[in-house]
Parts: sequence; C-alpha cells; structure tokens
Amino acid sequence: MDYGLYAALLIMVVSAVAAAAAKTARSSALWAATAGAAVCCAMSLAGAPGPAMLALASAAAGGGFILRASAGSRDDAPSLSRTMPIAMGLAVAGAVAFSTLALGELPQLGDGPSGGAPNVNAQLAFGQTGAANLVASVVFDFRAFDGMCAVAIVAAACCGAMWLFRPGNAAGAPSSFLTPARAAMAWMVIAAAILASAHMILWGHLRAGGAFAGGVTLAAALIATARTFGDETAERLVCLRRSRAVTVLATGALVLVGLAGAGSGYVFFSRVIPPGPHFAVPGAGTIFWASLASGVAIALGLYGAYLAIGAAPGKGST
Amino acid sequence: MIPYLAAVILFAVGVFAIVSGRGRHKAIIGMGLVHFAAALVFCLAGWRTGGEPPLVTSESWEATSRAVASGSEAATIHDPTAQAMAAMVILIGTAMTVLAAAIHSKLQTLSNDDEGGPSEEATS
Repeated sequence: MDYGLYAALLIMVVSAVAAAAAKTARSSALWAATAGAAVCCAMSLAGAPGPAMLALASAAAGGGFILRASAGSRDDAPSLSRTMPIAMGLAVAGAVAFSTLALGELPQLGDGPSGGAPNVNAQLAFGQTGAANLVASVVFDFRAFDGMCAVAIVAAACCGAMWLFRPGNAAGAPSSFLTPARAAMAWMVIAAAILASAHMILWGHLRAGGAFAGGVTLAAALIATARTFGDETAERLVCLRRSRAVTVLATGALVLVGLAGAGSGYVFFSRVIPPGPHFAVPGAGTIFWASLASGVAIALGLYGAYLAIGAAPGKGST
Repeated sequence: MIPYLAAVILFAVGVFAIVSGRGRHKAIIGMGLVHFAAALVFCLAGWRTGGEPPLVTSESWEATSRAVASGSEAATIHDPTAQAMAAMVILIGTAMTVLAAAIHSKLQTLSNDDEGGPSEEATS
C-alpha cells in the first residue's frame, strides 16, 4: 500500500509543479486535472473512496471551467516588478513554514485522530441513521448543518455565475476531430458517467461515493457533452434556464428537509423519517432525501454556470 | 510523515501559482491545488493502520455486532468525520473555482468590449 501511496503522491507533486509552470491554459488545466487524479488515487489508498471520487470529478469539472473561462483570452500575465519575486518567495516560504509547523499538531500517520473506539461509533451511527456509508451519516445527519452550508455555498456560487452573465445564444460548435466512430465512443463514455452519477446520487448513502461525488460527476458528464458535441446538444439535454430553476428548487428542498425536523418539534435536520430496513434505499430516512436534493443542486448548478460562461457575449467554446 | 510533506508541497505549489501573477487561470488552478492539499491532509489524518473504508456491509455489520456484544476486537475503520470534512473542502473548492472562472470570464468580456470586440489572438 505504501509504495502505491508514495507513487501517487510523487505524480501529484510533479503534475502540480507542471500545472504551475505550464505556459498555456490548456496544458495547465490538463496538468492540474492529472494532479487531481493523483490526489484521487492517494485518497483511495488512504481508505477514503468517497472523497477520492469527489476529487476526481472535481478535477475534471474544474478543468472544463478553466478551459471555458480562458477561451479567447490573451496572455493576461502582468509584468512583474522587482519586489514581486521577493514577495512571492516570502508568501511561499510562509505557507511552507506554517503548514510544516501545523504538521506537529496532526496525529501520527495511521493512528487516526481520536484513538478511541471507532467500531462502536460505526455501530451507533449505522443503527441511528440507517446509512451504510458513514461519511453520508456525518454529512447529512451528525453534521447536517455543515453539509447544508457546503451545498448552499456551491448553489450560491453557481447562481452568482449564472446571474453574472445575461443568457445568450450558445456558441459552441462540435469539435472538428469528431468522426462518427469517435462520437459513438464519446456518447458511450458520457452515458456511462451519467449512469454512474445517478447511481452515486441515489445509492450513495449505502455505498462508496455519495451525493457530493455523484452531483459533481453528473456535472462533469454534462460539461463533457458540451465540450465534445457543442453547447446546442448539451442545451437539448438541460437548458440554462431550467438548470438555474432546478438548482434553486433543489437547494430549497434541502432546506425544507432540515426545516421538517424543526417543524415537527425537534431540532433542525432531526430524523423526522425514522430509519427503515437496513441496506434498503429509503431505509436511511431523511438522509436519502437530503442527498438526492444535494446531488441535483450541485450537478445542475455547476452545469448551468458552465453554460452561462459560454453564452456570454464574446465568448465561445474552445 | 512523507505523505503529509507531499501535501505541504502541493499547498506551496498552489500558493506559488496564486501569488506569482502568471495569469488568472494559474491563480484559479492554484486555489484548486490548495484545496486538494487541505482535503488530502484530512484524509491522511483520519487514516488508521489496518483499517477499512467507513462503509457498512451486511457481513461487517453482523461481525461488528457480534464483536461489540462479546466485547472483543472488531475490524477498525478509517475516521468518517475526517473524510466528511475532506468532501466538504473539495466541494467548497469547486464552488470557488466556478466563481473565479466566471469572474475571470466577465473581466475578459469587459476588456474585449473596451477594445471594440473579442480578441483574435487566443492563447488557449
């Protein structure tokens, strides 16, 4: 396990340096996505499959956003003053010094943070919430307020991006390399990604993945559709206005799940729907509905923001 | 400690990309690298030697129930709270990437409008 982890970390560092040093936005985004894939491998080897899937999907979607935002832009690198390299060096040295000092506060690798009895905690968590994915139990039950705020931040950022631009005509044309055979292969890959994301959103509280990873994966699949076949094809799947409306409604639905607990005389996000039979999809009570609303809000929010950036006047797909 | 140091290097590279002033897209990528570094530290901090992913299966549920009832040792799992925090860090990092990309695009659009039309010299 150790060798695999070290190899993934080495690839991660090399790719990150290459992303920072690359000259064009395209190569920089590709190196950054490679670093994200290496982070995914490292997290998988550290026993965190859910965050690993989220890291991979986030790297893919983030690369798409950077490519679209940089489309048609000229080199915007300002000329550096003489004092700027010194300031840069101080900033990087400060970051390294601060984080190296912080390492002393962290537990030894392999010890875990509490050193307590995780098996009893797992037993209690699954018995109380019915979610076999204990990360989903934490995000949508024990720390549900934090989880809701994280989703609200994504929805607010995406709605901000959508409202920043006035919806115009989608300008993306299909790529020139797209022969019928390549188009068929691309559709197969995208369809598989959409199915996998639906599985993660609906069953993520029972298996590896979860609503966050499912939502970002669905957004990455839709962004891949737009980049491969053009914005018009992607708009036929879900249009910009509809994705904006669904993002707001799904975020509101998540808040309603929380309010249902408060309205029934308990506290925010309490379990108004008691856990049902173990390992059944609705068996996790409110966690299923909260994760469904979160996944939909994240997916359509990210996708709508991507479409909005491309529909801005003077912008087109790369 | 080597995995933690790798996360520190990733963090430093991200900070360098942000402050180096080599283009707005580099700054956006730098923010993403800093978020990945933070999420990686969370996952590594919650890792337990010989542990299993925090997923309950029917077999592990029965085995854990028996072990807890008899007071014996059951399989160790990695800390789910640390992984949940890592997931939230990545999600918020994604939101920041979206907003930064939108602002970058808007600034580019305004710059093109000032100069009377979109640029012909695309570098990407």
